[in-house]
Amino acid sequence: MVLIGVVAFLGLGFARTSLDRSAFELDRLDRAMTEQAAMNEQLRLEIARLENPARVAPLAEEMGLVIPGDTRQLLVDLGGPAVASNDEGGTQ
Amino acid sequence: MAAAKAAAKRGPSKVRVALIGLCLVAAWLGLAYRLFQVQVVQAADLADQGLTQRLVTRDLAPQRGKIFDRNGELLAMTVEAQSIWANPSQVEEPLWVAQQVGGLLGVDSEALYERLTSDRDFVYLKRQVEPGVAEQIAALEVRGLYAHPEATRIYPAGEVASHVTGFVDIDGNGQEGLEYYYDEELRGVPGKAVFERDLEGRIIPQGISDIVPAVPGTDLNTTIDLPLQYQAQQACLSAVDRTDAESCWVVVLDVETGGILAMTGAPVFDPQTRRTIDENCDPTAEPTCHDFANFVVRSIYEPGSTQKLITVAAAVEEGEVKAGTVIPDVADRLELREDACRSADDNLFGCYQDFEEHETASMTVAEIFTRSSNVGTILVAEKLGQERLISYIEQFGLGSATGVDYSVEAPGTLNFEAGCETCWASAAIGYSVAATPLQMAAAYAAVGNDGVWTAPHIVASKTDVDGREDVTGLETRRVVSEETALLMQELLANVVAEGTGQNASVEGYRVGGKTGTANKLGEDGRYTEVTRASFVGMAPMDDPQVVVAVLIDAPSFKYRTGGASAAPVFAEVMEQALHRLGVTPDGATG
Repeated sequence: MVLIGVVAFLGLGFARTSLDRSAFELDRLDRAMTEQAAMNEQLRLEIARLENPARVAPLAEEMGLVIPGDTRQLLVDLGGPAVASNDEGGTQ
Repeated sequence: MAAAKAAAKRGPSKVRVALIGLCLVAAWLGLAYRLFQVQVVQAADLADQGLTQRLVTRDLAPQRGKIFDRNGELLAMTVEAQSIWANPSQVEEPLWVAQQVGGLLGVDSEALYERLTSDRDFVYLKRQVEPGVAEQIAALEVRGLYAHPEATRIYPAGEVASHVTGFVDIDGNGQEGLEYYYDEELRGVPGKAVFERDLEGRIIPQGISDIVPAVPGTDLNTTIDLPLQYQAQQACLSAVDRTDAESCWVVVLDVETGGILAMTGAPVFDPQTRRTIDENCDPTAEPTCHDFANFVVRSIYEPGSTQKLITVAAAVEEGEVKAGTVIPDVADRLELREDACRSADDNLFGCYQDFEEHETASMTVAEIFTRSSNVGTILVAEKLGQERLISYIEQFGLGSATGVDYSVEAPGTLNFEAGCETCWASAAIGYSVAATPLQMAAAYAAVGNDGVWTAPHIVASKTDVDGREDVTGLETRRVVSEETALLMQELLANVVAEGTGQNASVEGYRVGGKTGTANKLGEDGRYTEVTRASFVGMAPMDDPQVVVAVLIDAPSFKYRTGGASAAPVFAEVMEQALHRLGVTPDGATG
């Protein structure tokens, strides 16, 4: 009986310790998850900043790109397709 | 002798033992008493004290809702930033610290020194600093300087969307725009966490733990198209530069839904710093440097000739005229009050004249509208009468707020004082009436929408913890019949094709619209030569999808008319709007 009692006591102690250890681990994972979520938000913010038209448009202009301004019209005649060029003579 | 010695030997040891035993018993009794005190008498109080030391109650701040454009692009979000604070009593060399830290924080070192030498225990040096700055300050290892996290609102699109999002104050409370209008929904519901913590601040497992999570704020999904918003703003900035105007304002509406696709203007401001972005602006000299008011919604103006759409539509709807109705004797000047036209410069208040001199002639209603004849329009309005004119002006939404979801919308005014004999004539041509650019755009959208007025709005749907919910129940009302609306659309197309709005043409699309040139009132109550030039129009004319309204405030004399200054901006913005919406060109060569 005494042996059973001792074993039970030790077992209880072990279980309690395991539980507490798991709880601390859970807390640590929780904090890690919060940090990752915050980092995710920062990255999302960075993407939005990079996609800001006020940033993209001047860079595109520096690279020689233009905002589409002319209407592209495809004229089709019986002889086959022909493409009407835009005023700027660009190729697309 | 021996016995005495023996007795003496036994006596003292017994006494000592007895004394020692007594001491031990006393000690144990003392311990037992103390144990009894702690474990029984004071047990409850001590347990409470222990719990008080371990128990922590923390408010859980909710995440403020995000704002998106119609394509899911972020316009506003909240992130964590570091705020730098100091305990002045711990700072050993405040002068050195102020000089070192002032440059990093971008704060005047004198102001910092004052704070660092105050007798308080807590002073902010700067709240919500740029990323990386907190780390630089921490690297200095200055005693008495600390950082703590704080939520800060970020606007990735910057000044592009500032006239839509508005801004919050340093504590995250909405102050302007959508941030103000939807502040309660955006801020969410705080939570609370109650838990037992150990010496290192970790939650004690199996201890008391009660967490009510914060409810995050509602996300707003707007009707704004960010690239179009940018293009419209750039067009305005160019217009202000080109015409030397005080400001330029643009609003783009979806004709059918009333959704605002773009709403912007120049000068622009940075919602982060809440400062005007204008290198020529001296905040100490120019009051407009601090003007964040969105003119499109918050300010009214006399619309001038753009108002004639309502006058003519009303007359057509009431059966008083048709497009081909001939109005005889249309002069270039009309005097409704005796001696009103005392001099060649007199205008309004009973003396009305057309922009260009011309011979008195008969004109059709269509010609009057295309040529924007003030006199002709007044003669048309005369058939309508004041009561019916006022009724249609109100039906088209002028003189009252549209109900748009934006901070502090101006309702507009109708000036029909009792006894005013000429107010109806002034109103017919866009004076004695004041409206916001948004109200004018909505009025035109009603014509584009085959006679149905739809309440303009910015937020299309909201997303909260329960999911996404579309905004419904927007007000609509029929203001004119479909037949009248279609006729007015054709008249608007004529204005661009042949009339005063030719600068508004868009290659590949048939557009329609109306120019407006309204003189501004001076401080003496008389009209000046300074104007507010406007153009409101729609496209494509076979089935209008988009309305664009442009207002240029106080352009230089050369650009004082709507056709000269506002129409080209309209063309530029409308072209981009049609491309963004993928509207098929109708083959017009403009």
